Amino acid sequence: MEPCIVLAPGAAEQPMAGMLAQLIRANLDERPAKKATLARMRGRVALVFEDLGQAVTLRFERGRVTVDAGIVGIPDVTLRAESELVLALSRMELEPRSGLPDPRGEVTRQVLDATREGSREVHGLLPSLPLVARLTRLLSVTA
Amino acid sequence: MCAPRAAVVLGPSHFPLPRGLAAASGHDDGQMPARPSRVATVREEALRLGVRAPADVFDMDDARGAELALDDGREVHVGPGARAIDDAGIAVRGREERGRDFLPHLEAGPADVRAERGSQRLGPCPPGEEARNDLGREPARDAPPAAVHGRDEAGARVREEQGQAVRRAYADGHPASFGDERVGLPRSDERRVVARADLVDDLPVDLAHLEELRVAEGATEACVVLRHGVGVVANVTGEVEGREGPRADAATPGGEAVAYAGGLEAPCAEKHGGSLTPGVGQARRASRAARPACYRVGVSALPFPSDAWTQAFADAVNASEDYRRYGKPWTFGAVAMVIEKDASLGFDPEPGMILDVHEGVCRGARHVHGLEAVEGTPFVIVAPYAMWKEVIEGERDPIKAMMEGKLKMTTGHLPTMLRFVQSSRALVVSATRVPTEFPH
Repeated sequence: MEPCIVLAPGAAEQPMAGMLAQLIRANLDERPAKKATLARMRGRVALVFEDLGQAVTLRFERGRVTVDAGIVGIPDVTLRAESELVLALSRMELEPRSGLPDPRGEVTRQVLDATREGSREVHGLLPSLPLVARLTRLLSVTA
Repeated sequence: MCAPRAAVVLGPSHFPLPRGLAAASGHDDGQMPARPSRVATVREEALRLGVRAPADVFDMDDARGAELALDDGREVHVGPGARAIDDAGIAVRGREERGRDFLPHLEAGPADVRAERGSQRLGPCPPGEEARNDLGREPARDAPPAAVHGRDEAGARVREEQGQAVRRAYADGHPASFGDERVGLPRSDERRVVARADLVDDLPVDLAHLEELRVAEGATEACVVLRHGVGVVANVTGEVEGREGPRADAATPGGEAVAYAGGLEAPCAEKHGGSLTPGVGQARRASRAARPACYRVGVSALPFPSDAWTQAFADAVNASEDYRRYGKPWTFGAVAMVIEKDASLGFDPEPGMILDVHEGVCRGARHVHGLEAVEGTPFVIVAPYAMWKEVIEGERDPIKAMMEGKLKMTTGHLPTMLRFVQSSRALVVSATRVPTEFPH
């Protein structure tokens, strides 16, 4: 099944929503292996950009991702942070085999430190750990 | 168990102790046994030094304050009414005559707040006036100061006895300045005296207060600053010269260079808006002559956008250490920055610039007009003039502005741009270092 990226009505007016859709599209085009990752994702992830006062909801339904402006429905995982920390998900260093974040990486360490200090909050991480790991892999621009 | 070191090593047979101390250490009252006392040992050690140590004698005719031997014939015995003897053993000239030799070269130091720690200032003193007056003044003719306050009562008493107002430029606790060297602490031995006291006065002086000499290096004439005398500082003006080249601040493009004078490396990096803004123009004292003086040369704002600004921007990018570091992996082509069309500001067609950045270096920059000129550029960022102004002035973070959609990347690969967030920020931040004149 070919992946499908949908920008929900009204989401185009929000820069972050458009940027995330563009980022996912570019990653899928350049790295076909990410299509398999997207096909296994199911659930809702809410990204709250505290400094911008914006929120984006990503709905994953087996190869189809819908980008909504604001929080739509009940998210499985909610990530609250400043915009740069949220987008740092795309720059985290991943281990080649597992595809999980490499704690030795500089950006990964920054994200972990921010999480430890409380400037980055993740709600619902443990029950949806596979979803978060796949999201990190999908957004990554490094692997 | 400690032995009675005081009795064996430094007993009264060796060095006569004061009566009170000898009685205390000997315990001759017959009631208490003699016991070792560490305190007494220390005291006796100090006494031994006091007895055996020769008095320091300084040849004050030597600018460096070389020390004389005890039997040197040039030793000066100063008592009431005595006169100093020069190198040839001849009585030196009169006070006024000798003082005049120094007058052209001496100048009173300006009032220094630090000098007022030990005593209060005796009143306003125009620089360069009072020291000369003090040197050539007849004490008997001058009225004593109206009031002398401060903690240094001994010094005040001497001045009052001499009947002259002496401004004290240096006082206790004055930190040693650059170029100053403490040359000795003559003891208040009654047989010896420090020569050149006649610089100030060869009348009876309380020798106990002639304790400290300072020789200011770097002065053409050796200068002596007596602790209780007139503050005498050589009239040396620090030379300030512009120097460009290796010491010019490479991080300040647009002809903005920092020149240093003096032997130190410390830069003076405050930003001045004028074309030539002297910083520390001249050294006020000989001790400050060695300190660096700096000024900025050629700081002129460049109109934005323009060819000159674009070139200065390229220079700033090349001078940016951050960009050199984070932009090293960048091999994705040139970046164009375009200002949206605004006829009211004369931006029609859209002005912009193309930076040919590659591996952390800006290989070239072009000022262009119109969106057609940036076609084919791998990365094009477009924003209104007001937004560019905020970014260039450093008031807005370029990455955040991009996330907010205020800086729009109309052409380019977003994952690559996100991957080089630090590089992109360093690139735009370099623009903040360009002195910019914005159109109104």
